[in-house]
Amino acid sequence: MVNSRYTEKKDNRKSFKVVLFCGSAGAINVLEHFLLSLEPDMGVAIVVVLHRKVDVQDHLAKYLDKKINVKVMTVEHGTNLEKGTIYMVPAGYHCMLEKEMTLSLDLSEKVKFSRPSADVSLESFSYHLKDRLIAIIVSGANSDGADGVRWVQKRKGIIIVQDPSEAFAQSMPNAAIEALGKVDHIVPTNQIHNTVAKYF
Amino acid sequence: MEALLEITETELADFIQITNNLYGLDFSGYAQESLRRRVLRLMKLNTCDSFTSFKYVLANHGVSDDYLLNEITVNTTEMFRDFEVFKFLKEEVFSILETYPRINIWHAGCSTGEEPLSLAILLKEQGLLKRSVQYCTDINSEALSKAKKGIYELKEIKEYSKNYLRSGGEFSLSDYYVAHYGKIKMNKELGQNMLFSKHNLVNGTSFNQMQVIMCRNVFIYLTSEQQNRVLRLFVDSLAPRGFLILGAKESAVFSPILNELEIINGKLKIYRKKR
Repeated sequence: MVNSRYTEKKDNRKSFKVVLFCGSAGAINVLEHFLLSLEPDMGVAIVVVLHRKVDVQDHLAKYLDKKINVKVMTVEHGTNLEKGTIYMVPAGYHCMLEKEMTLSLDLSEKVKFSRPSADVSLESFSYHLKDRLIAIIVSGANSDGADGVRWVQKRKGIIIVQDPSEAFAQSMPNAAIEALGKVDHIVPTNQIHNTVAKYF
Repeated sequence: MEALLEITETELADFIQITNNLYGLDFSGYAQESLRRRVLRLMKLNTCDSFTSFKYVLANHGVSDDYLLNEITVNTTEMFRDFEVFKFLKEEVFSILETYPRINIWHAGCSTGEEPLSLAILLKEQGLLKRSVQYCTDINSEALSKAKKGIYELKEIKEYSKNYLRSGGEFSLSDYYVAHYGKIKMNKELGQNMLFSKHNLVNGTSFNQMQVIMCRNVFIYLTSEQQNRVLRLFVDSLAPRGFLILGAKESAVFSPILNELEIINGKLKIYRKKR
């Protein structure tokens, strides 16, 4: 009885792709540049994991929502993942994807001093989405994301890393590249959108 | 580089079954992704490189039921977390509570006790502490025993002090604790009307009529069926016109039970029983 939920067929999963954008220090400008290039009718969902102070996170979502022509919202527990929307993960929570394509929040221990942690989201999203996940790793001053992208690679997702030479903080892109050996795409800020759009 | 540790959906279902059969624990109502991560963490803690080897540990009673429960449940909490909630309580709710001869408050999932203490401080400043009884319950025995002690790490206090003042605190947080050896101990007076007890929300029953129920960041670990059950329990435990406060990022708006509540502040997830 207990297990019927876990063994049911997977045919109810929606088929659009999901972009997981991960960054830390120096990532806002890169994010803004990427989001400004998007069209409102894009056929994907975008989830943004940034290391931010609790105080400024909500303002960022509101600011972006005004500035770009795609709907931007802050994730709440249980939010449905739908295409054509940008989801900002709130500061202080890890964000995961459930089998039913809803977003979950969690307050478990920080990972690499971070909550939200890119590693946590990358692992969880790739677990359910497999090759439908596109991971973007940009500027950041720690190694968050480096473990997560290994899962993405193993589960056949696409990985795009910001060119470390132009990143404000190189550690995060460098750590991801080092962890993978070979990365699908290493591109500068102004080419992130073009590269991602190929997979939409 | 660390090996990638994985657990399949079938193995997770296996975990739920085994812990139920052998340890009498019921994790079937836990949110899936969170549970999957917690089990992976348990496997790492027990140096198991696969679920098969972890299953061996479980089957041979290599761990205790208390250990499993305490490690699976998440205890992260802070003093004055989401200070706007506390500010709202102080500015909008306390004046209503003042009209009661006795104020019953239930902290459902109180974890290590930071929230009851935060509220106790504000109640004291309003002259309401002596009239209040704070029922603090949690399923995690380890967290509860920390809550009873009221001893915390000093390093968090700077953030707490800032949020105490933003909540409308009238003095200084340092008036309420003594610091020593890198720890702080909260004044005993704050805990004088706190009752601690182990309580499982999922199969627990109502035990008093509450003016306020605070249950922040518990729903995020429960499936929607369990959320409904717990919400029912809360509505049944609230006194007429009592307040329910959920976590700031928890929207339980899909539940029909919410029709019995009025939304007082949607952003802060503060509800009030209609009658």
